[in-house]
Amino acid sequence: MSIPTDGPTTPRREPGPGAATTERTHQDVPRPQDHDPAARPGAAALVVRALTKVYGHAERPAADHVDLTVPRGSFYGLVGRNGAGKTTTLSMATGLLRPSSGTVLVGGGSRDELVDVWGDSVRAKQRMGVLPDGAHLFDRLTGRQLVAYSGLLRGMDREVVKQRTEDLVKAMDLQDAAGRQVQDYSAGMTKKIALAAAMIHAPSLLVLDEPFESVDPVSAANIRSLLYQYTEAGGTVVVSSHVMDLVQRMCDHVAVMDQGRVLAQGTTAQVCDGLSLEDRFVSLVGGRTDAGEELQWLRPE
Amino acid sequence: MASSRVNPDQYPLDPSRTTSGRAQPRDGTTSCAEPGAAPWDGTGSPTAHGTDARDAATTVPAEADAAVPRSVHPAGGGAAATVRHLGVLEEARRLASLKWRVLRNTLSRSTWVLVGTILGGLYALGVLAMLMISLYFLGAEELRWVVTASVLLGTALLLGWWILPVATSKADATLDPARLGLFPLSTSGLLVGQVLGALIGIPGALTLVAGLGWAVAWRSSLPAVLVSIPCALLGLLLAFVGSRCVSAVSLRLAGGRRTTETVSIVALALAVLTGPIITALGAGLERVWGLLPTWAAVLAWTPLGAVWAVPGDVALGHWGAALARLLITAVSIVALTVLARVALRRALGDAAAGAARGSTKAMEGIGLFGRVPATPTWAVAVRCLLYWMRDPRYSASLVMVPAMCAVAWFLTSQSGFVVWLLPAGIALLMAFAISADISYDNSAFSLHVLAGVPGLADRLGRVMALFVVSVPLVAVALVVWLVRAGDWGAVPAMLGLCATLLLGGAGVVSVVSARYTYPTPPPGSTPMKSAQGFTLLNLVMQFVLMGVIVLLGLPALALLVVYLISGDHTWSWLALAVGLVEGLALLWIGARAGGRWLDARAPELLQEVSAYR
Ligand SMILES: Nc1ncnc2c1ncn2[C@@H]1O[C@H](COP(=O)(O)OP(=O)(O)O)[C@@H](O)[C@H]1O
Ligand SMILES: [Mg+2]
Repeated sequence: MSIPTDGPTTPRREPGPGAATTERTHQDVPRPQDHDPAARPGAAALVVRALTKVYGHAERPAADHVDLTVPRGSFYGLVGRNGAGKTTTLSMATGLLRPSSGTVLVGGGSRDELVDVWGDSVRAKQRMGVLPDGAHLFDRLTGRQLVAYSGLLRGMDREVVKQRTEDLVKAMDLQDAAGRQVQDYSAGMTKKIALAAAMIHAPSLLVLDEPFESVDPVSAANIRSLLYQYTEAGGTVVVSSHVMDLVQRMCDHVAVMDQGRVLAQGTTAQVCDGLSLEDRFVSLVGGRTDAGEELQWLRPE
Repeated sequence: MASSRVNPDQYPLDPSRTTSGRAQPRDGTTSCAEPGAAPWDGTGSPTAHGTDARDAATTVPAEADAAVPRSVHPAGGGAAATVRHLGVLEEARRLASLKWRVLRNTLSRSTWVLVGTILGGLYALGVLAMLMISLYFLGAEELRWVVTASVLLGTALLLGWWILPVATSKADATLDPARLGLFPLSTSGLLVGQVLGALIGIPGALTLVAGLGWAVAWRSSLPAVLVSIPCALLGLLLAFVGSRCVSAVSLRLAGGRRTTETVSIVALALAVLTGPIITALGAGLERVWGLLPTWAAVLAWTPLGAVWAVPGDVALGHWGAALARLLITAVSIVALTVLARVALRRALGDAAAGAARGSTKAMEGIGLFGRVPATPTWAVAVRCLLYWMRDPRYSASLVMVPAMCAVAWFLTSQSGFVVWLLPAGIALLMAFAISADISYDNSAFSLHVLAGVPGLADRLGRVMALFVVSVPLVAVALVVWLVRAGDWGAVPAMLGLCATLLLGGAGVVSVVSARYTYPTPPPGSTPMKSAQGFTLLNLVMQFVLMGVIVLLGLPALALLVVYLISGDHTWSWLALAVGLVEGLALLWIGARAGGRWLDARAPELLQEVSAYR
């Protein structure tokens, strides 16, 4: 991600890690500013086709023929209840979990062709930055080391890595903590440093699983504005969440999942259809139980 | 009315929330654009949260009583006491049945775990049968020998129960106080539950049967047989309580940052103490045989051996001695119980707070990462090296090294043989140490998968970090060996042997660990904690793996032996050459094959290791 108008001498408020440096090691790492999303209205950043996962001997698939099309430059929200299959779908889409069947294609790159995540995984993975939900980090490293490690693992140049690490640490407002080991971080700080590690290679697609869980409101707002800038520069963001408010405020596209299926997808306005996302979600998913009635005993004595 | 219909039960669990009867304007765009303007924040008159709140919210008029939703009315006194304190025994029973349930679920989770447990069970049955037969024949011996054997075996049994779980980090984690901290459990209930729970599982059941079968050995005297059964039960109690006590105390100790140092010092002290003991052993089996009754007689007055000698006293009519020994046993059980209770109470209290964390020293820059070539291989190597230094799970495996050196040093005063094994043994153990590398990473390994790290880079990086740590250690071991053995001519051969074991072993482990992982404690937990789902099959696999590495060391070993017999230095140099070439070749093949396997199976591996808790 980078902000094209920024020169190296311009003081940056939201530093883009790629702004002041040139990409030397990976020709294939896309520079989103090369592609104006408006110029290619049909271009997709992520295409998921008939993606299915059956865990072990489970009778019901955790993801059931999931079809998603994420347009380039969009801020895409994947909403669903706990256990709807969001993490499963995103894990398969990012190469962390082998699908039982189906395909995942990632767009981007200089020639803008779609790449199969489970076929040409090396190229697909260069285009993606991923924040997995609930994964451990290498938390005996310091924050800076973790971010740099993520870059070095991708074969990036050392000076680029150092520069971007500093930029990202600043953007995440972690300057004070970046020299301490990640195991001493709070949950929100851990999310932020993991997000930084996911962005260091300037991916054209960010897939973030529950990125705002346990992040404080100020940091969440900072991260949101950072992600906005990123989409404005041509990057694409996919977030999963079960917080409807947030998704509605943040995302221009949404998909609603339940029980492993996609119930609705499209622009936020299309999916909401005049209701708030929350109401629309409940009417799509149904299954509200009158829990207050069953839990009559739940009260302080 | 979608918005006002849904929102009344937005917070069904929150008795302070009341529903708003005010209808929201049905304006699609504003409703969609202002999701934050929650209608239930409205100040409209509250209505009842009735039997069907969605409809009632709009139909039930606001009565005088309606401010308090019906579900919050206190029920009659009878139903109120749903949470009561369980008795100690009831708590214990529930904990034991929890253990039973966990055991069953672990078994049904995967076929391999089941197979491993069945194999383990068969092995255990075999051991039990042998033991029973031995006990039967023991019964035909003189009473003196029955007492001696009982005391020695019993002492070994107790020591096994007390020390093995902690020493091998395989303590039973099911009823770990850290997991139970949030339940209103009494310490006694937990302790009794843990002790009962110890019976559930192969080792506990085996010990119980063996303890009861011990009566056979006393068949020459009926009173002794009768007394042996309660004594066996007391002994079992001692074993289980002691085991829980040791693990509770060691978990407490292991919580701190300085654990590894402490543990290594204690291990060193123990090792130094065992030196003279084993030296005495080495003094000749005959003399030891003669000494056994004396040792048994001494042990029979210690907490470890007292209970096992009681039936002998009864058979001989030494009632005073029997009583005294029972007293010793009872006092030890009480003392262990008190100690375990204190440790458990602390552990329960700390559970919510998590392990104590001293804040680490802040560091500028990216440290070592900035000083190596910027390639994935080097990045992995530096990361692993930092983990070797910072993660107690890694450093715990380094504790063995000084202990082994000390043992070898002392044993050599008796016979010069053991010190020859020292460098090779350390090389073997260190090479084996990275077999758990990906399991240790746990789900953090996802970063490697996401970054698309080439399998070869992953394998080589881990091996490089291993070499940085282990080459100096093997060098120290070689120096110890050289000082003790003083055979300069054998230096090349020893180098060759160590090279095969370290390089070749790393190669073998690189392949195997890309395919086969075993449960390890997750990141952030103490090395003393054991992972769930570790079965005997895992242990067998580890031994097989070590056996394979030893086999690969045979060529260099054979040449070393030829040199020692012939005294011709050519053989020694030949051993060096063979060892180096073989080791490097194995490493190269292993890293390649393992890398290819990793490339093909990284997602599956990630799922597997992410499940280790
Ligand atoms: N490793 C796993 N093994 C078996 N079942 C799983 C596993 N991970 C998730 N599931 C199941 O798949 C379903 C979807 O889970 P998940 O994708 O995590 O949902 P979400 O992220 O939307 O909350 C759930 O029912 C969950 O129990
Ligand atoms: Mg999830």
